[in-house]
Amino acid sequence: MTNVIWEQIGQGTIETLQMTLASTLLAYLFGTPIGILLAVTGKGGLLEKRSVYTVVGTIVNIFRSIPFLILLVFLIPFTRWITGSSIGTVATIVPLTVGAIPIVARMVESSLNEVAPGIIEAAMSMGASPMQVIIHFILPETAPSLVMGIAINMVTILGYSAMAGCIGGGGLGAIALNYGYYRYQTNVLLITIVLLIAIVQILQEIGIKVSKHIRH
Amino acid sequence: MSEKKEIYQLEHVTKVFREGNNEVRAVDDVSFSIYEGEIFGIIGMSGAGKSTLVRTLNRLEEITDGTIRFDDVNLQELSSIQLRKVRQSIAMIFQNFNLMMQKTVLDNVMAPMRIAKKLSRQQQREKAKQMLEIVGLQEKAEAYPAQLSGGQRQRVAIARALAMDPRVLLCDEATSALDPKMTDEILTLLKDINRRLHLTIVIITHEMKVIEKICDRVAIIEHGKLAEIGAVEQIFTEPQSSAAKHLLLPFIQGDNPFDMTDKRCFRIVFDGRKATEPVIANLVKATGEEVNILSANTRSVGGVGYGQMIVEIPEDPVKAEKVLDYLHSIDINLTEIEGKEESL
Repeated sequence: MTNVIWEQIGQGTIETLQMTLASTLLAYLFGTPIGILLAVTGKGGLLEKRSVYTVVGTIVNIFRSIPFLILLVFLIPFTRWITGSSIGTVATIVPLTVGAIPIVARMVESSLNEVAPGIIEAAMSMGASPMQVIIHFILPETAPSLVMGIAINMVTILGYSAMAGCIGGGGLGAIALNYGYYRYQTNVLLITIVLLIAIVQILQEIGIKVSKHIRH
Repeated sequence: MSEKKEIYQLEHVTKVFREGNNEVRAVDDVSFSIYEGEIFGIIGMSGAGKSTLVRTLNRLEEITDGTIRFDDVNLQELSSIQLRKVRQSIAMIFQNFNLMMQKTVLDNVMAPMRIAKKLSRQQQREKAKQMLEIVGLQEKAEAYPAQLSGGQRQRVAIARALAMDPRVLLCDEATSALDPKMTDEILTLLKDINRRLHLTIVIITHEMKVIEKICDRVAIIEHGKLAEIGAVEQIFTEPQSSAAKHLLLPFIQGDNPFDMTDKRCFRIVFDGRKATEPVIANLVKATGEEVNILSANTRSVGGVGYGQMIVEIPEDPVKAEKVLDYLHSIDINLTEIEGKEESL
């Protein structure tokens, strides 16, 4: 293997991490409010509202049902409109984020639903507004579960980022595809696999550690 | 109760739950008042509707009919923002404590002050520490609820409730998840808080011993209806409703002594005066007949000593007559315990 390939692998690792972290961040930025909305409007929620829950839930489910590879292609015009390009690391962040938002939303919803109803009742009995109940009671109580969710979602997004290699995205996925598949360089393919496994392990470990650290 | 200012006035309060075509009247036309500074008990068997009733007192549960006035304000007429304001003076503690498990004890106690936003963060901390001192847990400020016992958790919940400077404290089965020793500790603490801070306390329970230990007045709820209401001593000595007798009898007797006998049984209640007289010894001396004591105990109810005794009188009608004549002649509170099926 030449130095060029090693350089590319190094570059690819960095790109993969960039895509994963940026997409996770953005997906949580948009997905968390949607998840909170689902949790509070759902059955037995703080502001139970069937109509809102059904509409938002259906949209989330539609996006979650589209296989990511197809979503990638489908979103090309949208991606180009936002980033001015449909290939490369930055462009890949757009479909990754869109694909992850519904997953994040459902994960946040399920974490929030774990909060004991009694805590919400106690908060309301103190005269808390719905917003205060969410900020001062529900979110702190679910923090450990939310952190675990972040780790799990990061791994999912990492997997998606590899798929983005198919349509011109960067990262380890593209390297594996270009060298390992098109050029039959199995050793490069193996190296990317090992690197991906290592990254997943590290993310997972960090998630578990942090979650345990903040759980009392 | 020296003064009799009403803090709660309930009029014809009704709560109906509808599920499909089924209608459940969880609270059915209940009217009573709660006075400032008293410890008011609401007792009933599980499913009697008492938990629903207490939740109407801070409108966690909306009522179907009637009115509830808190401090002369009709709760039903309040907007949600006004209601939140009023709720800040109605504290509540729960059977399962409902503490935030991911927050320290101190943070938990600060929670209501964070909501009220009246104090600076530093003042909130100071006040929370004072509240923990009242409940005797100042050294646990930095602990997490998971590290505490049930009794300690309920103390934290009480500190949290007091941090609101409430006008009234609602206790929903607050001791039901605790063992007898912890129950006693919590009840003593509540009584102490009531006396020291002149805080009105409303206690929901299914246990007569809770009522006996700290309540001034009690309402008995059965099938959503108010069966009986009055001073605790009065209900204990002269229960009128079947619901009251139902709750009281097993409590007074401990184990059910009726299973041991088919003979006629009477309940003798001694008020403070008679409790010290040797009634039974005198009876035996005067009549020459024997009675069998099935159960007897003396306890302090609302600060007054009471004795209750279940006696079995002779089967022979002539002898029975003699015994009863004597008991009637000494003017003692005597009631026949009807057949087991009816009284229990």
